[in-house]
Amino acid sequence: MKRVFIMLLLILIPALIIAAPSAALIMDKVIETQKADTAAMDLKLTLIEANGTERERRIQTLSQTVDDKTSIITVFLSPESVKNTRFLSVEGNDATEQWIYLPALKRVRKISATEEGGSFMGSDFSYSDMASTTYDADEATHRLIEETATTYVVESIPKTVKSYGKNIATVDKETFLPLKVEFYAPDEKTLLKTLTTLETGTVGTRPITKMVEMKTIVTGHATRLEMVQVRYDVPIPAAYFTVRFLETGRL
Amino acid sequence: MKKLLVLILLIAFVSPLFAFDFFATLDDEEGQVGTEPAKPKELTSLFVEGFGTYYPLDEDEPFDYGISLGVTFEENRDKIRTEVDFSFSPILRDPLDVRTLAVTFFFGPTNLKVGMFTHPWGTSTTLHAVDILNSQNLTHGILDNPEAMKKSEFMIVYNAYFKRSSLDLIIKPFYRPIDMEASDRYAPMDTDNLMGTSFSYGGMEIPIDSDNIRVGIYQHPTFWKALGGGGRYRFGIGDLDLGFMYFSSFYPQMGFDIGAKLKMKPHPLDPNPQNPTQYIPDKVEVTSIDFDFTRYHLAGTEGSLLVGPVTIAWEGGLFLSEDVKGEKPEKYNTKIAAVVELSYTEPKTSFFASAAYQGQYLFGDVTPTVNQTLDVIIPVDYIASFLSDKPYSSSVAVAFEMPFMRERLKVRMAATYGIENQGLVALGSLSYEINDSFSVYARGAYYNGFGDKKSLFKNWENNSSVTIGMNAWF
Repeated sequence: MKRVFIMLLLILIPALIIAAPSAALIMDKVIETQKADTAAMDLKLTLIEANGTERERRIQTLSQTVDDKTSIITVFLSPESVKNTRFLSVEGNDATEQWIYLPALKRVRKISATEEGGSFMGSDFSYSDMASTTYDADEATHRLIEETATTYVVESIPKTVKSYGKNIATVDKETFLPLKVEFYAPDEKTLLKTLTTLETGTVGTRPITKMVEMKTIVTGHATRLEMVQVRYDVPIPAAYFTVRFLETGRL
Repeated sequence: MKKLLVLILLIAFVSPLFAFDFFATLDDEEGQVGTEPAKPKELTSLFVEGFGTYYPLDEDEPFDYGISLGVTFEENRDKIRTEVDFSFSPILRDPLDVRTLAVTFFFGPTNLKVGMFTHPWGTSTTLHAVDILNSQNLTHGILDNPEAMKKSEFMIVYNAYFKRSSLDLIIKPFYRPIDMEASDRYAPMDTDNLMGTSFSYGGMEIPIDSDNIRVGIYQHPTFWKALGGGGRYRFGIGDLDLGFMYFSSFYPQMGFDIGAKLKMKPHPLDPNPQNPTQYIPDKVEVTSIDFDFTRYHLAGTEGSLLVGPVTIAWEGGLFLSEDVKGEKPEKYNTKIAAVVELSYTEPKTSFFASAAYQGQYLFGDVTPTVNQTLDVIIPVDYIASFLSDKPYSSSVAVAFEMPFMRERLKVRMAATYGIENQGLVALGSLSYEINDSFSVYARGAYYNGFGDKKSLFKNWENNSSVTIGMNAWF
């Protein structure tokens, strides 16, 4: 019995050693696939009540990464109640600075930076979900729990638990796009939300998710996020990421 | 009316509903995926609001209603932006309210904006000391958004932006005084309140009688004489934003030149009451009120500092009046004013809360007097300080806003309290978004206070109200 156990360990341990970097590699590849120096996105968020009632939100966002520091400007186009609200986030060496322009006040206000949680525009996406729905190798411990002919299924447990205690991502083997992500509570057992990719496409040679749906399990509320337009690695004037643009809405 | 309708219809149907587009400004290189065609650069919205209000304490006019049609139009071209924003309310005294009618020319990091619009100064949210470029519209009472109480004015504004600083220069060729009802619900305090209820004179309290007052008005400052102008320079150092400004213009509030007579009555101890020879003051009879406008020079500052999650904002300035010594009753005295506000914005939930303190100190004598020649002298700053017999006035304000139900339901609360005049206004509202283009709301306004409740409006408590209404966008 003891010999069998040792043999199993000898077989399993190398397998675990090989599997762990493989899962991390998969998730790094997922992040890498979605990474860009600059990105311009025109997004439509459709908020879907449990009874099927729909409401739409439209935003445009530009992002630029220089020396690993990312600046993001977001303009809210609709509905009327938030139209022309502009939000600027600039990552610095020490901290991230954030400003918001509220058209009702006609003023720019500097606000404290936030990292996690909170519903984005009343949707099922949190602010952190909008940044990324998966973790890279440094942020979490990854484990390959299933592999099919076309997909990897990777469990990720974040090293610092904030909103979620565990994610399970189903990743397309060919494109490394996440086809489905399950988000679990910090107890790692309660399923909170599911993200399902409804449509994929390509921008040049880059594979992208064009339409996804995030569903909150408890409420049955869902949000469909559609990329109306998207461009990657195009020149974006630095003047977009300024308080001047926030105030004037112009370059 | 017909022309207006045609204009609205033209704007509504010619220009599709789209906003300024990032994508139109990007180089058209490969790498784009799109499910919609490129957008035009016009934005047009039609807006309809209807409401009904109940004033439970007003026995004469307990109900009010209103409807207004609004249009916003914005066109963005390469170097020019055109903005139109107006509403039409057929039942109002001034049915057409033009909030914006402006053209902006963009030249690199600078721009020039010309037309009718509002241009905010100051860093606080609820109360202001240096946000003086647009006069107020008080014909709808006190609202929970100071910007909504502003009147648009013709201005030429030049903005220049530098790396971490900016400059705006303003010229205002015309003068628009504060907008107040002459009578009706939100008329200024009646003459009893305007004058106070009595004067202390010779050891006696002399009541004021204000029947048969002649109300006159001075000519507004005309073009060129009314010319106002100034500028502001702002810069940022880390989490500190600081600005300095200068502006010369006329106070939007009118000054009052009050004519009055002191009426006498026989002394009660006169030995011959049938044919008295000894008299004592009986009452002050106000005979006339004329308005005047006073030029001032503002030297001010504004700033904000982010400390953790809290923003500390401040505004303050010296208003150097024409009547530096406060000798002319109809002129505003020189004063200093300041605001300090603590606010918190939670970007994750859009929750906002603030608490602010505003104070002003008036230089010169502001005590009402009856002088030897029986003229009543009531410096206008005495009135401006809400009838407190002090050379200063101050107020506090709190406000918060919180969305619920995935931003379908928004709750707003605000309250302001005048420390010297003891007047209180509390405002609350609930708005519920039925769908993306239709919402309903309920608003409450509570006017009360302590002490004499002397206030800005003649019907203070009677203006407490409950309103229900709807907004629709097309």
